[in-house]
Amino acid sequence: MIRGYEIAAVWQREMKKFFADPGMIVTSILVPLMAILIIGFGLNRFIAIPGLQIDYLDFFGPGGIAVLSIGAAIFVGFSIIRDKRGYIKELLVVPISRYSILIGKILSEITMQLLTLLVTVVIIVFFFSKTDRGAWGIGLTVGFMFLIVFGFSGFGIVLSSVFRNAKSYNQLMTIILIPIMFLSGAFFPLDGFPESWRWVTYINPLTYGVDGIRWALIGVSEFSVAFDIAFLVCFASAMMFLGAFLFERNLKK
Amino acid sequence: MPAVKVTHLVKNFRQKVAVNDVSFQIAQGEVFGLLGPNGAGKSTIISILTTLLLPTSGLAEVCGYDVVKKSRETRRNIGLVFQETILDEDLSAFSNLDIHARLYHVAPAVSRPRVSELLSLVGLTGEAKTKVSAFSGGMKRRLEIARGLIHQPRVLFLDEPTIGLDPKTRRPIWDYIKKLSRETNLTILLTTHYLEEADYLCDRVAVMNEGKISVAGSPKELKRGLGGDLVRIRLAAVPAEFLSRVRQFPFVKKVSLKDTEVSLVVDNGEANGAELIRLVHALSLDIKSFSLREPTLEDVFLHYTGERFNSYT
Repeated sequence: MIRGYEIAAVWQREMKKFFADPGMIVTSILVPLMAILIIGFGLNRFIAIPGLQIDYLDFFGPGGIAVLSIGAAIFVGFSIIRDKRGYIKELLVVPISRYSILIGKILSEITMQLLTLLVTVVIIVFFFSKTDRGAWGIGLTVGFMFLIVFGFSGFGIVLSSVFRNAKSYNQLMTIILIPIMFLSGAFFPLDGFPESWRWVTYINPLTYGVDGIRWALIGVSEFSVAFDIAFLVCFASAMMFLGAFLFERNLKK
Repeated sequence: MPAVKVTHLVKNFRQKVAVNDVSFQIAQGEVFGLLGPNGAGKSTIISILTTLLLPTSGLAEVCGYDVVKKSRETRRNIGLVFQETILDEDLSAFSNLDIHARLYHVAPAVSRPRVSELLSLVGLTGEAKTKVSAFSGGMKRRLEIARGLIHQPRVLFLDEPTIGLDPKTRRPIWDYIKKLSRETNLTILLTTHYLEEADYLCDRVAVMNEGKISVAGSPKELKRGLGGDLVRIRLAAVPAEFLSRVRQFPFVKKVSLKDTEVSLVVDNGEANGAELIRLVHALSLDIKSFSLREPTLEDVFLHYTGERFNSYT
């Protein structure tokens, strides 16, 4: 049986470790923020989005937020792999449910991601010329971020249960993340792709996160927002169940 | 009710038999040592008793709970210090213990004083706020022992508690473990292949070899089981009468002579050694030296793990 205090204790451990390392916090906010602002400002003068009367920065900002959110995918899986040979054993002899360990880890990772993302989002929104969507737009953005973080955390857990060591996990993650990031419509519109490639963007869950956040912030979207949400909810649930299943199976051995 | 009860325990890994029909019991408050060479099955038994591994067959109970069917109750009653160091190095000693207390649902009002108490028990009071990454190997071990005790377990498992530590660091850890077992009614099961460690700490030991327990008993019994104590007497000259009189003592197991030195294997050497000296005096012999040595646990270990037992001759 899963109890609240169990999840809270696992969550607290991760948060303590997070706050014990201020350099890491600053890095995790600064690096993506710089990347987004530099790409956005750098390309702003040279790129116009065909058919849309908006700056590239406005177009790319929402996509950038979505891309940042998948950072969680790397970190959750990584923290599980890091603990695999060490602390996880310590947690397994404690009288708590194995699912509490998993949920506590995911929630702590989501908390950390959201904390750093919120800072980033506030700064990005500040740079927007067209932030006329108000508080509900930002609220919806956070909602989408949450779905992306949840889904890709599950994805990270699935990958982490396949690999024993952090090195091969990182290698595969990098190979997978590049197409996910660049074929999501975050950096350029989907119709920039040849027709025969389009299907890749359609099965990429991040596409729907980018699309949803773009609609929430600047009112432009490719798909309907309801479809974006539905796709992400399905993706997140599937990944979480698969992740939990593999995690539990790995522990049994 | 014994603290730990293992009955016909078997654990197979694919083709390999790691634990082969092992049975033993540990009484409450006892310090019990599992000795054996690497791969003898010691750590496998600990993993089963601490619910980390499922046995292939047989029964294992801790504090009366079946470790398979009542794993949660078992876990609540045990503390475990792993063979490898498992600590959050980026957190302070206090935080490491505090998080552990939370995982066991010990309320902060209860855990705070207990944390300081345990830190002082393992001699780390001054280091409560220090990050663990700055600790030496011995300090980390002591912190792990403190962590294993925070939820007041009834049985503490120590898997190779001093492995990788230098002899100077090892000693204080032994003393803390000893103090712990003296001052509380804690049952301790430890594995080790340092024989002095087992001899110093354990009330009872079991020597394991290839998945089986070869012999079990108190270190004293085991050593006695090898035949007795070794006495060496060097005389100016050894008359035949002395040797024949010595052979008549019922407590003398074995006599051998080399030059002017008589080596004997003797039951209960401390009391009977005096008897031998009395004989030397009665015969008015000129005694040059006298020595008495108990067999060490190492002799027992080597004897039961297949290596040739070096007898005293």
